[in-house]
Amino acid sequence: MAEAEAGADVKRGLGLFALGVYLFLYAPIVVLAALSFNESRSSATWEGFTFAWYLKLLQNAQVMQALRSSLIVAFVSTVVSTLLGTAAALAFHRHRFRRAAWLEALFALPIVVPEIVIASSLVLLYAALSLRLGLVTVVLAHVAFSVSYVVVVVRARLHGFDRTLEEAAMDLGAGPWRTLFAVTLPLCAPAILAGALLAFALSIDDYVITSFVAGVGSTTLPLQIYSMVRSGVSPEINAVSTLLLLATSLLLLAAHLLERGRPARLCAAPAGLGFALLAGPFLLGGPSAAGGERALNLYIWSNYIAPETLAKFEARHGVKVNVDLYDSNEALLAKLQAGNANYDVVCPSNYAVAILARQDLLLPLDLSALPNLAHVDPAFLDRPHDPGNRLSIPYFWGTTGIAYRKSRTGPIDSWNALWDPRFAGRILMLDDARETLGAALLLDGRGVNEEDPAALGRARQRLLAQKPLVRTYNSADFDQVLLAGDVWLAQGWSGQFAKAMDQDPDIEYVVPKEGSSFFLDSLAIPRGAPHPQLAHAFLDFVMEPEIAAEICATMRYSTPNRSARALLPAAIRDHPAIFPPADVMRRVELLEDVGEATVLYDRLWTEVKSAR
Amino acid sequence: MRGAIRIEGVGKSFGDTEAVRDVSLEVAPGEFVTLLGPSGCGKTTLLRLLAGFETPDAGRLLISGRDVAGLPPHRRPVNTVFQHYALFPHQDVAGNVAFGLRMQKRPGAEVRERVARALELVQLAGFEARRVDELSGGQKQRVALARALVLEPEVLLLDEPLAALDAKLRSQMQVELKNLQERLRMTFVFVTHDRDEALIMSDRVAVMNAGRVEQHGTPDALYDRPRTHFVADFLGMRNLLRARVEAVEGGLARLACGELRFAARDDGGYRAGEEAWVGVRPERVRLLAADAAEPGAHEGLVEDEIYLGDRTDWVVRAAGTAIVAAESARGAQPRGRGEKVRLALPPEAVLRLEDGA
Amino acid sequence: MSARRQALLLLAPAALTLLVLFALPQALMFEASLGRRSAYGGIVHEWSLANYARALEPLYLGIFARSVGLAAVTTALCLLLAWPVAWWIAFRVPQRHKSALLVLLVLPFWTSFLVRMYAWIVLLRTEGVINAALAAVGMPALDLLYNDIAVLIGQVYGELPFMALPLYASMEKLDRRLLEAAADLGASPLRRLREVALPLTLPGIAAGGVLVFIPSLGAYLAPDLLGGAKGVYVGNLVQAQFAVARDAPFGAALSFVLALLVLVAVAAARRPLAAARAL
Repeated sequence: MAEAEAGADVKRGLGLFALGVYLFLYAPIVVLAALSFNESRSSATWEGFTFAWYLKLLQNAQVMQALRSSLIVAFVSTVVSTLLGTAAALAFHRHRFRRAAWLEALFALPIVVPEIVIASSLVLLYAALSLRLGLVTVVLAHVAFSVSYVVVVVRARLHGFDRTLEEAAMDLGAGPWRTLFAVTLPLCAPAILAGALLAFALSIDDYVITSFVAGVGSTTLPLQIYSMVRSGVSPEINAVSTLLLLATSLLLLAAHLLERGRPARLCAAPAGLGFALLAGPFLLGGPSAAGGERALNLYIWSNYIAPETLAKFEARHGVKVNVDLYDSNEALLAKLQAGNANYDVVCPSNYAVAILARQDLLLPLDLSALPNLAHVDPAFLDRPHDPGNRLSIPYFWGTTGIAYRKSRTGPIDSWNALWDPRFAGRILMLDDARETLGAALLLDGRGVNEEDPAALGRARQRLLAQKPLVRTYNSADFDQVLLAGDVWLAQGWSGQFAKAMDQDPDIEYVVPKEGSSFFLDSLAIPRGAPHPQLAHAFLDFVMEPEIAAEICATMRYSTPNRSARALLPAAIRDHPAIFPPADVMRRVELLEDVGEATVLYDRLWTEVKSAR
Repeated sequence: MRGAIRIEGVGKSFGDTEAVRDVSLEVAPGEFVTLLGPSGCGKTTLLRLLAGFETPDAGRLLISGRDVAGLPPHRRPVNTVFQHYALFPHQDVAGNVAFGLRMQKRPGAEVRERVARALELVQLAGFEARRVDELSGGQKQRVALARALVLEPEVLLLDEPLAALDAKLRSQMQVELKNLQERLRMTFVFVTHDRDEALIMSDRVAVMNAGRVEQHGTPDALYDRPRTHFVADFLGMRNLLRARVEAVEGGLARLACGELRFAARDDGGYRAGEEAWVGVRPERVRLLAADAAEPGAHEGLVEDEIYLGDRTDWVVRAAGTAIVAAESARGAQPRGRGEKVRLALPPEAVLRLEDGA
Repeated sequence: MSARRQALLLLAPAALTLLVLFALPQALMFEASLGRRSAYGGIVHEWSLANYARALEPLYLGIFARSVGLAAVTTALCLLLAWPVAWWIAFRVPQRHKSALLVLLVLPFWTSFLVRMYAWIVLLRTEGVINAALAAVGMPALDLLYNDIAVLIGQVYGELPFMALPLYASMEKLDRRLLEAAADLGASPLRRLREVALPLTLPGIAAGGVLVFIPSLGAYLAPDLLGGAKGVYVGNLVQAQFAVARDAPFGAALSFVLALLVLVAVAAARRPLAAARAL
C-alpha cells in the first residue's frame, strides 16, 4: 500500500518536474514575445500594449531585407545540405567503405570544430579562390556546417533500419535506385525532415560564420540583430523573433496533424498561415537588390545612417544603396584584406584606416570631387592616420568617458570613481583591452597609446585590483545596462550615452579629468570598388551641411562638420556628451593602432579577465 | 527447365567464417525442397545466394538453366518470403502486393486484378486497404506470400516463413503452403530449423551442417536411413551409441557398447577393432517381460517413463547403457520405475552412422 | 549498377563538398597556425611551433581547464534536468502527446540564441521580471545576473534539448518489461533506477553528453552576456584572437588544441556507447 502511494507520488513529482523544465524553456520566449507588444522601446519598463512594433517592422527596410536574406540562405542551404547529407547517410548505410575511419572523421569533424575556426578558415579559402563574398558564399558556408548534422540525424535513423525491407524491394524487381526512392527514402522521411529542420535552425541562427563570409547584400537577420544590439534588442527584433517562432510553430503543428492522420483540410490552415508568414517579407518588402540597376554598396556600422537619409541619396542619383552592417573594425579589416568584398564605401575607425592604408587597400580620393570637405572642422583633418586626407574623410567621432546615475553616486570627475569601493558591484567597464587598459594608464599618468610593457603591466595590476568591484564587462549595450539600473557607473562611448541621457535625466556623462581617448570614424573607398564615382558622390553627399546635420540629429554621434553643427537644434548643438567643451577636447587623445603591442594588450586583458 | 535449380560447388565466406562450403545440389522443376539445419549451418546464406543478396566466392548457380552469377536480385526470376515478412510499413496490403508489378510497370487494371487474385489465393480477399501494422502474424505471413507469388516467379524462396507463428497456426499454414505449392507446381526452396516442418512439407530435404549439405533425400529416406551421426541426431534419433566393432562375420557385425553387446546387419562399413557410431530408433527397440525367453535379449531396469500421448518412451538401463524404447499407446503396459524388463535390439534396426562434418 | 557504385555515387557529392569547404580550409588553417602574426594582423608564413608552445602556457591552460569545467558542469546539469523529463515523456505520457512534447523541447531554438539570452537578461537583472515578482510579495531583490549561476542558466538553457532528445531516443527503445522484471524481483524504485534504468539509458547519456559537452567547450555568448564577461573561456579566447588581436596564427593553434580536447572527450564517450550497442 505504502509502496503504491510512493509510486503515485513519484509519478506526480515527475510530471511537476517536467512542467518546471518546460517553464524554464519558455520563460524567455514569453518575455520576448511580451516585449514585442511593449509600448516602450526600452525593455526596462512596461508601458502598455501595442502592435506598433510590428508595423514599424514592416517599414524597416533593413530588417526586412535581412529577414529575406536569412530565409533565402536558410532555405537554399537546408535543401542542399539535406540532399547531400541524406545521400551520404544512405551511402554509409548501404556500404562499408574502405578507409571508413577517414570518411567518418571527415563527416564528424565539422560538428566538433568551433564555429570561429570554420569561419576564419573559409575566409582563407574564399580569398584563395577569389570568390566574391555574397549570398553564394554564405550559402556554401552554411552547407559546409549543416551537412554533417543531417548525416548524423539520418544515420541514427538508418541505424535501426530493417535491411530486409530493401532486400524485399530488390527481390520484387526494384533496382538499387528504385529501392532507394520507393522504400528507403519514404521510410526515412521523419529523420530526413528532422535533419532538415535542424539544418534550417542552424542556418537561421548562425552569426559567427555568416559575419565572416557575408558580402554585398547578404546581411542576414542574426547579423542585423548583432549589429543592432548596441542600441539594445529593439522591440522590432522581438517582433521578428515572435513572428518566426509563430511561423515555425504553425508549420510544425501542420506536420504534426498530418502525421496523426488528420484530414489535409485541417492541416492546410496552419500550414498556409505558416508559409504566408514566411513569404510575407518577400511580398511586402518591395524589390530586393535589383539586378541591372546601378547600386552603391555601403558597408557601415549599424545605427550610423538613417534610411531616410539614404533615400535622399537614392532619389538624387537614381541609384539603389545596398547597406551591410558590421560591429567591429576587425570584421571590416578581414573583409577588405580578403580582397573579395566588392564594397564601394566603408567606414573604418582611424586606426583601421592606418592599417588599410599601409596595406594599400584604399583607393586614393579625388579631392576635387569632394568640394564639401571645406565644411569639415580642420581639427579632424590631416591626422596622422591619413595625412592630407588622401584616403578618407571624417564621418563621426566620439569620446570615451563615464556615464553615471547622479542620484546614486553624486558628481564624478575622475577615473578613480571606477575603482571606488563604495560602488562595488555597481560598476561597468567596457569589454575592450584598449579602453580598460587605457583608463588604467591614464590614472598612472600615461597615454592611451602606451606601448611600454612595464607601464602596461602596472595598468594590468590596477585592473586586477578593480575586478572585484566590477559588475560586468560590456562594450555592446553598456548604455542599456546603465538605464536598466544594474549598474550606477559605466565606462563607454559618448554617442550611446547621449541617447541614454535623453531617455533618463538622472544620467550624466563626463570625460574624466585625467584625460581620455576619442575615436574618429571615417568614410573611405576600398580598392576595387565597382562604382568609385558614385562612391565619391556619396562621400560628398554626407558632407553637405544639411545632410551631415540630419545624420547627427538622427544618430546622436558627434559630427566633425562645422557647418552642420550650426544647423543643429540647440539641444544637440550644446549637448555636453555630443559636443564637449573645448577644455575637454584638449585632454582627449586619438586612439591609434599600437602595432605589435596589440598582442600584449590582448594577453594582459586575457589575464585580467581570467583572474578569479 | 523452368524452375530447375542447379548449384555447383558453391562456396561463400564472410571474413574468416566459411558460411557455405562447396555445396552442390539440384532441384527439379516444381519440387519442394527444404534446407534444414541448426542456426549458423549456412542454410540462410545459401538461400540468399539464390536470391542474389550475396554473391558466391566459388561455384556456379543456375536457375532455369541460366547462370545467374552477376545478376542482381531484381533481375532474378525468383522471389522471397522473408522470415519477418519485411512488409513495407508505409504501404497498405494492396500496395505491398502490387509493389513488384509496379516495378514492372504493369498497367493499373492488370495490377488490380492480379493483386486481387493473389490475395484470394492466400485467403485475404478484401484486405486490400488494410494497414500492415493492423494485421495479425498469420495475415502478415499471407500478405508476404501473396506479394511474392503475384509475380509468378520461377522459384519461390522461403526463409523460415513460419518461425514467428504460434504452434497451431503454424501447422495449419504448413498444410496450406504445401497444398498451394502442389496446386501452382512452382519450385519452392524452403529454409527451416524445424525437423517436423521439413518432413511434413518437403518433397526432398537437404540437411546442412557447418556450411555443407550432409545428406539429402526424401523425408522417409532421411528418416529411415540417416547417413551421419549429425543427421540422425538432428532428425531425433534418440539412441545414438558409440560402439566397438568386435568382429564382422556372417553378414553381421558384433558390437559392444560398454558391457552391452549386440549385433548389427553388416552394410560393409564395419571394420573389426575400430569404433563406430550406431543409431537405433526407439520404436524399433523391442521391450519384453522380465521372464520372456528370447535369445540375445538384454536384462534391464526401467529408469524413467516419458508419456507422449500417442506413445510412451521408456528409458531402460541395460548393462550400464541407457536405451530408449518406444511403445505405442495401445500396446503399452503399466510399468514402474526400477522394474525389471528385457529388451531386444534387432540387428536390422541398428544403423551404422558416419561421423559427419 | 552495383551497390558499391551506387554508394560511392551517393557519398561523392557530400564528401567532395566537405573536402573543399571543410578539409581544405582546415589545411590552410593548420598552415596558418604554424606561421606568425604580421604587424597589420596578416599571416607571416614562417613555420614554427611557437603558437602551440604559447597555447600551452599556464595562462591559457587555465582557460582550457576552466572551459572543461564549465562544459562538465553544464553536461551534468543538463543530464539532471533532461533525464526525468525524457523519462516522463517516454513512459508517463500518452502516445498521442509524445511528439508534440518533443517538438516543444526544440521549438525555442527557432529564435536567435542572442535574442533569447537578452530575454534572460530581462528576467534576471536587478530590476527584472523575477525581482519584480519578488518585490510584489515583499521579498528583497537578488543579484541574479552577471555571476556563475547566470552563466550556467544560459548554458543549460542553450544545450538542454541536445541532452533530452538522445535520452528520449534511448528510452523509447528500452524494453519496459525489464523494469517490470526488476520490480517483480523486489527492487525498490531507487534501486531500479540505479541498477536498471540508468545503465540501460547509458547510450543516450553518452550521446547526449557528447552533444552537450562539445559545444559547451566553445561557449562564449552565455559567459559574456549573462556572466558579465568576467571569465575567459576558450570560445571567447579564440574569438578574440581572430576578431580583436588579429592574431589568426595563434587563434588557429588554440582551436587545433581545442579540437584535440574534443576528440579526447569523444573517445571517452565511445566506450559506454560501444558497450551499450553490444547489449
